[in-house]
Amino acid sequence: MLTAFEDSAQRYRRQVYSFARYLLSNREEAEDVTQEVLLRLWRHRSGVDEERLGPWLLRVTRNACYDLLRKRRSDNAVRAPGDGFDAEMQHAASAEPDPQARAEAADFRRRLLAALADLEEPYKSVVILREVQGLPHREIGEALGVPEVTVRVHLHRGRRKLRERLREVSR
Amino acid sequence: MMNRSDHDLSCEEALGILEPYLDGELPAAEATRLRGHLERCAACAAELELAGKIQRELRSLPQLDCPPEVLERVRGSGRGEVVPFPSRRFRTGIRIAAAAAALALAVGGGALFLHIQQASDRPSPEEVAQATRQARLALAYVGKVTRRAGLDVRDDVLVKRLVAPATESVSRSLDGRRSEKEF
Amino acid sequence: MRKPTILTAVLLFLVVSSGLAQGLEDQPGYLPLEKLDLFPRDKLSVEVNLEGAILRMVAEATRGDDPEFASVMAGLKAIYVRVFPLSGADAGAVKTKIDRAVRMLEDRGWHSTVKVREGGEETYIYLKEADGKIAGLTLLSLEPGDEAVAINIVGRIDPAQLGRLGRHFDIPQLEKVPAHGKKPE
Repeated sequence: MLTAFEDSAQRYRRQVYSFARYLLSNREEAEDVTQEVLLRLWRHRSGVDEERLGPWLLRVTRNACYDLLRKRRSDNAVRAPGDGFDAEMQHAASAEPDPQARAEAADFRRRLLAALADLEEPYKSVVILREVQGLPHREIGEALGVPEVTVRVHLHRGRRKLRERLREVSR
Repeated sequence: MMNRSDHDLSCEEALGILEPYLDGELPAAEATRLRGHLERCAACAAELELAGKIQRELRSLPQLDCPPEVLERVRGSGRGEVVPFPSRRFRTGIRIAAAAAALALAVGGGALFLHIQQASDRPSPEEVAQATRQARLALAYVGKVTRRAGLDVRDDVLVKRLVAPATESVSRSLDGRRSEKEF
Repeated sequence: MRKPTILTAVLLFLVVSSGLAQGLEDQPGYLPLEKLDLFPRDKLSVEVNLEGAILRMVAEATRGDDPEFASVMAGLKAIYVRVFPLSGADAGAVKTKIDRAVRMLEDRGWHSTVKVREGGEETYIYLKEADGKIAGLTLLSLEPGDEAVAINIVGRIDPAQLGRLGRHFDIPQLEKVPAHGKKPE
């Protein structure tokens, strides 16, 4: 049913796109992945179990991103660091009244995004889904096909790696 | 300056439970021990502060809005199984589905309506060409299968073996009786 | 007079396009090929899904050099094709699924016009009528060692014309349509 597809597409496209965007750090690629994922949703519209739709979409998104990342590596594509993180993200809800503090906050965000972009899998997916998208551990486990305890382990390791990276830079 | 007692954590131990502590998943007793260590250890306290800062920052990152063109392209593509990658044809502006273009033609809705279409997501000539190839391919398969089933020899044979029985079976079923023909 | 025309057209668009978009499943001649679960999706050699407006565009585009093909397209609402290569695959399993699909077609009131079983090959052609006219065609075919084919065509159909036209088109000369569209570049 088209209506069901439309409902699902509207409900999930933000989550799919955000996930792809943070995973790839590239706006155009994220758009292409989102298009591909929604198209697959359309094609499989009569076959997907409604309850599992969210995790299914995330898994398909992650796999589509992996394909792109593999291709990037094999193409030795040169990618400008953090080229997907432009004004819309830098425009942080920085409540800092002090311009100096605001500048520092913006700088920290930029470095964090760069560190996130460089974070390897499987930690990166888990950090994005948990910290950025706020999904519960169980749902992340369903999406990525791993037990909840593994999700927690990956989350902790991912955050630790981010800390290591940011700690070095802030010295 | 740390006086290690049985209750005190080492830095290594403290760092090991920092993450669960941050997530509020640490049992109360361990959390207390960790807090005790952090009061005495500036380095670990700094780690916690950094970890907290990272978490707050990550959680404040925005959910990003998917450009509406992406969904429009899927709607258009889903209709015709033509998927241009990457497609950058679609610009903001008036967007009316291709169905409307056909409708405009059908009702003679006017050059003005069609003109509104120009800026929108009408399939490209390449997409129409691809759809044409696909349609021909579909018919080619119909042809291949009917040929293989021995239905192709002459049109009159086809009519006799396919259309007439079909019409007959249709009209019989309208009379309340189903019928089948086997060849 | 312009304003009313646009308004009418827009209103009609809202009514008709939603009808077009959502109405396919309600068309008597429509058959949800996915529900037949005949072939594994990722192993298809050909997948075609053409619906609604794109078919009218095809008709428009070919009216000049192939008027008969164009007029056939103009009357169609949807074309679906799935082709599954059988070399190295278990034709028996596919045959079971096709048999099940045939039963489903009959349960849904489709009329069999062709049943050919010969030397392991099977071909079924079913038609669906509505208001005394043919509104849909479903073709299922299995040739062990070659391929299995499922086709559903929805709309105003003249089966003889379809078959005749089809035999003018040669499959080997046409590009094979890859299943699933393309991966993002």
